[in-house]
Amino acid sequence: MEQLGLMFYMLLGYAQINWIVVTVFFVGALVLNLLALSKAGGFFNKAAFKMAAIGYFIMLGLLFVSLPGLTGSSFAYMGYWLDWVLLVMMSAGYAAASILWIYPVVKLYQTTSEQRV
Amino acid sequence: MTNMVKLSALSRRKFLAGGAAALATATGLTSISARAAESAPRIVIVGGGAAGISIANRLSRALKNADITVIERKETHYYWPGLTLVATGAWPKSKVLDHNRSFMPSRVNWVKEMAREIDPDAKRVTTDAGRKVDYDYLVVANGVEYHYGAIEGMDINAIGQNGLASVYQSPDAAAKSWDVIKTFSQQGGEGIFTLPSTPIRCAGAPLKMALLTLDRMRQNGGFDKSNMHFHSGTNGLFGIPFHNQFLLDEFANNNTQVNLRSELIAVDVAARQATFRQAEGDTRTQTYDLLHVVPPMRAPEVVRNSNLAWTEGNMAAGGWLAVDKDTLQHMTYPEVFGCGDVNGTPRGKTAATVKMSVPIVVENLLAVIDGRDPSATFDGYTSCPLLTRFGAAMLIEFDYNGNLTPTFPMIDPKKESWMAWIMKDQMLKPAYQQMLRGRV
Ligand SMILES: Cc1cc2nc3c(=O)[nH]c(=O)nc-3n(C[C@H](O)[C@H](O)[C@H](O)COP(=O)(O)OP(=O)(O)OC[C@H]3O[C@@H](n4cnc5c(N)ncnc54)[C@H](O)[C@@H]3O)c2cc1C
Repeated sequence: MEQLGLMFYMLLGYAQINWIVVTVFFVGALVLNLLALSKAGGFFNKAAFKMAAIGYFIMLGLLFVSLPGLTGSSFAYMGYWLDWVLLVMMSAGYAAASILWIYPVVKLYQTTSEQRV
Repeated sequence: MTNMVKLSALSRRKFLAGGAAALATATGLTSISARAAESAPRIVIVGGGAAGISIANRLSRALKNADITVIERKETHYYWPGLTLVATGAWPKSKVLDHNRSFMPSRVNWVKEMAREIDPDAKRVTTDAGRKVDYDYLVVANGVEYHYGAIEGMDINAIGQNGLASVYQSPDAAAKSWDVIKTFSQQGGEGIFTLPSTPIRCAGAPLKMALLTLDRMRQNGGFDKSNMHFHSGTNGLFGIPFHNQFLLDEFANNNTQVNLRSELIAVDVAARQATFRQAEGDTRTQTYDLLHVVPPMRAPEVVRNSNLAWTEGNMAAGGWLAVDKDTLQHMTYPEVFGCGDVNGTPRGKTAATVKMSVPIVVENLLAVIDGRDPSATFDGYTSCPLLTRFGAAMLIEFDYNGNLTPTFPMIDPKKESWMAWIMKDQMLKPAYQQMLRGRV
């Protein structure tokens, strides 16, 4: 219980400290999704979903290999099972968040390509 | 009922009561009578650092009518735990600076002066501007005093010049220390790190400075051109035997000679010479290209010179605040509590200690206001994310008795990990700020 509270407040504090990045991310996601909704019509699009899923796994892979370096560390210091669990969770989490941008971008791209054809 | 059953019923009751208390503490909700909650006591908090601001936030939420005064001149808040990263070039100085006003509760009277005298018999604090502030309850939370003056020839204005570094003095000094550490990590030479014999805040910081400097030397080419020395004024390097041995091995593997019971007593900044008093009482002078000074520490003068300081025992020399180590209530004045580095308790001069002891102090203070005896007890929780190199750390948490007490049981305090590095580099400052707001 205490640990959960600590984790919650740590993440809340992390978001507060990085509020500019968090705000830009969510405003960007909102604008892109509204744009995609108005231009591409409808929210669900099977082909775009497929593409976004591929995008998710590419992102996950990229994050997995680059996060230790991006955080000032290296794979050489990941000698502990918990480090690997954290790396997988962080990569999966950030990749999932990136879908909020990837999905509308894919939809918009598809719509523009269809219009050109 | 058999003894066993009685015992387990008792343990269950204790467990449930303990759980409820832990929950109340964790959420910042301490149960007090309506009479106490409605009372309007005058509470003075001396010091608006980590402990002072955190307590002010919790108290102003718990006691809507209280007249709370915080005495603190500094308007800039230092995130001290980040200074080791500034002094080793990992963080910019700006990352450890904040405004106290962002965290200070709006309902408190913030007196932007320093306490010059505390008279616990008259229940009065006098500031350096001559203002007299009377109190019903007092919380002393004014940290430590760096006693650089105990080192003959030491000049804090010379930090950043002539190979002189010291992370402790201030964020400015930490940034200037990086200038000399960076040059040394490229050019190499004779490098000296020190640890005094007095109690110090964050006993891991002098070790982190040495280990991270060694890492920088490996990165920047100075490692093979250097002789490194670590002088500790005590019998060891760290209070937990496992980690003490780990550090001795780490230094041995990194060409660093460890000198125990060797205390820095003088510096000749211009000649780059440091003098140490050895265990046998004789002195030894060494020339250096880099000297990292950790000053001896003691309680701030206003506490040392008051009736609140220990007068006997091993905390008397530093004039540390005489509080009961379990309840953090003053030994003679029941309306006085202490929190943070100023406390004359074993171990525990870290922000993590503040995080865990603030709810205890608040709960016990509220109990006293409520006319009860303080019952919440502090186990001496101390934490040190020991940065062993850039990218790896050990998250060491322990209590008064030196028992390892990890918050997250799956994190092994005896293993270096990337996770502990992420904690230190990214998560502890957010947690610290939440603590200031009285939430964690
Ligand atoms: C280099 C370094 C690295 C550290 N690393 C870590 C770490 O990794 N993890 C960790 O948990 N802790 C770490 N710490 C320790 C941590 O920062 C302290 O334990 C914590 O800040 C203590 O809080 P405090 O409120 O007691 O003192 P402070 O935060 O220093 O606050 C005391 C306040 O009292 C004020 N004051 C002083 N005298 C008076 C007076 N006469 N009147 C009014 N006000 C006064 C001061 O201006 C100050 O603002 C580190 C500290 C340093 C210096």
